Amino acid sequence: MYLLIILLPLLGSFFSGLFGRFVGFRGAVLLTTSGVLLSFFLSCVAFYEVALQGSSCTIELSPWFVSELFDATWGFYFDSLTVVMLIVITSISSLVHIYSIGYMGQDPHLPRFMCYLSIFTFFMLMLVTADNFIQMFFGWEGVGLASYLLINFWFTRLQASKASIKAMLVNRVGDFGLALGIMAIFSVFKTLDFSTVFALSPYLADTQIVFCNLEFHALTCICLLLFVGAVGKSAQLGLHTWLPDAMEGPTPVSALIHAATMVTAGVFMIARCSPLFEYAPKALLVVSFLGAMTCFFAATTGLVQNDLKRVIAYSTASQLGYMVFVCGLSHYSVGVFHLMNHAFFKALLFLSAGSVIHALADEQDMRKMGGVVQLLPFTYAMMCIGSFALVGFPFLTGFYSKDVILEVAYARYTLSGNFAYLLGSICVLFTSYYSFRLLFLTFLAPTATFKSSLKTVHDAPFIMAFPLMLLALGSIFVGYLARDMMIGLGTPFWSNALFVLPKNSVLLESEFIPQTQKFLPLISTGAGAALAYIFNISQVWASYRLKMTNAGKNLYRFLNKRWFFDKVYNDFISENALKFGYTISFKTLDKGSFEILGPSGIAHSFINMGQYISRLQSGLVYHYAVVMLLGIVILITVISLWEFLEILLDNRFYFVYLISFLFYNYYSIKKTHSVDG
Amino acid sequence: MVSAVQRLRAIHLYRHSLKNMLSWAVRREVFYAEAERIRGEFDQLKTLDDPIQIERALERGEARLRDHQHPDPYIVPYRPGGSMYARNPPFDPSVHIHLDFGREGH
Repeated sequence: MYLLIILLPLLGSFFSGLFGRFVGFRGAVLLTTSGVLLSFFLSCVAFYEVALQGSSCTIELSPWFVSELFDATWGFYFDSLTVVMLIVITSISSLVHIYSIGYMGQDPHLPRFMCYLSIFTFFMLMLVTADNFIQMFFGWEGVGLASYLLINFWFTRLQASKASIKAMLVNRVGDFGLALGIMAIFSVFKTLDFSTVFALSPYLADTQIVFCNLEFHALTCICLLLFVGAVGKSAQLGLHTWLPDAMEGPTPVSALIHAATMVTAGVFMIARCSPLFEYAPKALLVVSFLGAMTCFFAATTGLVQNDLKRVIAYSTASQLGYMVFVCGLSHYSVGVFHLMNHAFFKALLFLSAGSVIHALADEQDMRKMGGVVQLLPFTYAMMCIGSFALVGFPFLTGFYSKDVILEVAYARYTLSGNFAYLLGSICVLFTSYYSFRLLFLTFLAPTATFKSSLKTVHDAPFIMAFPLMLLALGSIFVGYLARDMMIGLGTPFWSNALFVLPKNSVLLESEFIPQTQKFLPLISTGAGAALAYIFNISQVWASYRLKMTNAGKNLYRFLNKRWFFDKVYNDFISENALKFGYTISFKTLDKGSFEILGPSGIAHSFINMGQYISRLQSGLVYHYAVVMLLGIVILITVISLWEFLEILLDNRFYFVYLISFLFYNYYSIKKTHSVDG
Repeated sequence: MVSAVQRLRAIHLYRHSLKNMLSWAVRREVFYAEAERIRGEFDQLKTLDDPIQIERALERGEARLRDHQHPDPYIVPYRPGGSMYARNPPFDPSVHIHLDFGREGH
């Protein structure tokens, strides 16, 4: 059963991908969707067995490669963390599969699309069920590949190709860090099995490792390298640039990969490696700082974006920041809880956005929307539920995790805790602002839509509406239902899946923080909503004038252009890398080494040199006299400095000169022959 | 006397100013008022007939447009740069696509 959970999506993908033309649209849809749905039902059984009944299990499938000290196996490990991820992945994936039937129904490449969605699900399941780092890395790279294929689904679009290559390249930077981290783990622990590594981590907590010729605390170094991987995959500040561009893919892809599942792989990995991170406090500090900064950066950028999907994408990055910083504050369970909640409401938001885009003839710009609340009442209701859950409206899903995150950050009383709390609290206001701005501009403001779009506007058909309904239920109830189970004080739910050092746990203290601090997120949410109303509905002139002042315009540009991160990366990194790749590595090293050091280069240079030297024979005596004088001076210098020069002049050079002359003569002879011939 | 090139530049400037304003002013009431203001500014200079003065006014206008350029201008989905542009190139007319899951004929 456990293996079937992983295998079914692979089978679906295999048949719809390779036999798509044979099974047709209907066959491909049925195969993939039923595979993933079955996988979801089996995941529910696994959740009951593993998480609720507390029976974790391991499956050793087969050896992968065995060489002396290093053994890698195909093995699967099901504990609470895994099954929570299984439920999230398979449920969202099933709903996205069903939604895609409607959304992509008009696309001539539907079987390929369904194949990619299923292969993504398979790789994601491999990632979360792995019992060793190598297999996790396999899944990690696999989801990267699936993400590339899906962003580039409309491969005839230049923007889509660019976005997918960008996603691939930026993720490679992160994966490089992750691979180094895995190698470092092997060099310290001599194994890559999760169980062994995590069991040994307390005993090797003080080990040192030499990395780049410098000695570091081993676990800090390992955790930071692993975190680089998480930064790439979870779009944290620095390697975040790919996520907004990935919105080039179809909307169901954005919902499944770039909101609910793949981007949370980094958070999952940090949670999975909690026994390592707990013994690396400095790494935790970096994690929490970077998470908080990402949260702030993405939220500010989301404020002024005009593309519907981009606003939600920045919101995703911001929420990922919350998850990462709470992991950095050692509350992995809260991070995973927010991950699960976020998956539901963000998938709902994305799919509702897709529904709006679909209804408005693929219009994505919010400036050309508005007033469709009466035409799309169902989608509006769904979007409202998603947005309210996102901003942490009381008793909806986001409320239970977001408030706990902020309370935990407040109760830490450390530098990283205070920093995260400060930025996190400001972000609550921003989150509320952009969520309500999205609602107002899309549905409630007077319409700016094209007449042609309005004429054909229609609410989502049942096949698209059904997943939305289920996700809406999830967005309303999941937080309430799972709160005590997952983050309740002293809950046995996680058993050995997550490890927190007792000194780092402040869940109890967070219950006793001042009441004003507990109400602050709610007040911020209200203030954000009010500001969004003022700026986008009631006082449009005031907001317009504010925007058109010099300072306003500059700030708008700065935020709209994502703090100029892309420009800096392009101008200072990409461009130089491209120049290096072309001028140095291709023209000079690859092509140049053959041309310059090879026969033709030597032959040409000697001819040129011969011609150049022949100019010395000018027929003027004083020229010759100068040359003779210089010759004698050089001769005397060389003889007197011979002891020193002897070391510098290598005998092997003579051989190179000899060979060069041979080729020179050969080339000259050939040339003479050809002239004669 | 205005030259043909200047005339074209003026039209171009007016059109682009309006388009740019459409990206800044999201609400129509704001856009209409701003569009009227832009029109007024153009009308004020309508009577200019000295080529040098016209040239100066055009340069001023173009510089202002550059200065006010929206960082994320609105693009119609099916135009280059839009979200639908080059999504699925049209098939050869002889190719028939089954979109209703192969059940069209049933």
